[in-house]
Amino acid sequence: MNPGASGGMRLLSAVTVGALTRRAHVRVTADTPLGTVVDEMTAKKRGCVLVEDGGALVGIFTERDLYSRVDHAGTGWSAQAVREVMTPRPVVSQPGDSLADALRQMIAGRRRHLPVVDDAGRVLGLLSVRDILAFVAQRFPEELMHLPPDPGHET
Amino acid sequence: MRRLTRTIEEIGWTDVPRLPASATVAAALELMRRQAHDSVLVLRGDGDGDGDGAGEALVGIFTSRDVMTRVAAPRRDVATVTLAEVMTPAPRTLAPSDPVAFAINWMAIEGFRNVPVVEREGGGRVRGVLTVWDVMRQISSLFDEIDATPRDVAPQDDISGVTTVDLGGGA
Repeated sequence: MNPGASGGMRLLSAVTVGALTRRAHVRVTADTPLGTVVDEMTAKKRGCVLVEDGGALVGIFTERDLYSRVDHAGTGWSAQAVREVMTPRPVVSQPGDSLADALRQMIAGRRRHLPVVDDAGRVLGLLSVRDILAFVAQRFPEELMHLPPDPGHET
Repeated sequence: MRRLTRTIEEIGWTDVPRLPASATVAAALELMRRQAHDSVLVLRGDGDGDGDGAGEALVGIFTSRDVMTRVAAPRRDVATVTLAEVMTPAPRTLAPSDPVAFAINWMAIEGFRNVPVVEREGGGRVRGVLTVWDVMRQISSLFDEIDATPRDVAPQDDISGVTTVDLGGGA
């Protein structure tokens, strides 16, 4: 690729979802207890899991669902099935979609992750806002390269 | 790109709830839910709740990630655990005069999604949180600007440098 800013500028809008890194996704079945899901997300350092039922994508469960849809009073929540608190029928993206369109969908619903599926609806991977941030950082190094972050906390 | 050299002040940030470190996680969750915010700022100071930040100092931030890793995963009791115990203390901050590129770098490399915005001068007034959505709106506008810019390049140019398809199955 052309690492220069001008090259990045010319090509950016032609980039598709399929051209970006799609991170390995974590899958759970819809009847998985929430406690197990949380443990899995924590162990694998993921902000979401994809929920499948009979091999089909039926939902997504994210950190946002955890604070906004789960009743944390007591410990009962951990036995609850993820299907009860997941976001059902998630908005998905396809490899041929433009990155710009995918980003608009993410912003519109404040969705940090879009499952990427093929024509048959099979999950190919996951596109996250962080992938897009990394892409922009890579495409505009002149603006960004003089800003080395130091190791720090997580926010 | 000029858009990436804009300052945080120019692009704007997000007002999020503010709580003292003695508040319970349950209180924080209630505010996050009601106002659909991914984070709350943890302050010590005047605590008058008028949001002007006068006399206040940032001591931490509590985010949706902390809910998962520090509250839900260890099965802490939200009714009794305080923010002091589970917040991210002394977080790194951005100043209103910093370029948005700073935030892109931190968010891309370290995975930050909510960065407190604090004045560097004048007693460190706490302004709010720069969220990943504040930044992504700028990137989306950048994409739109590039789409509107005449260019003479084939749509499928070499993008191999960024092509990494990981189809790992995970769990």
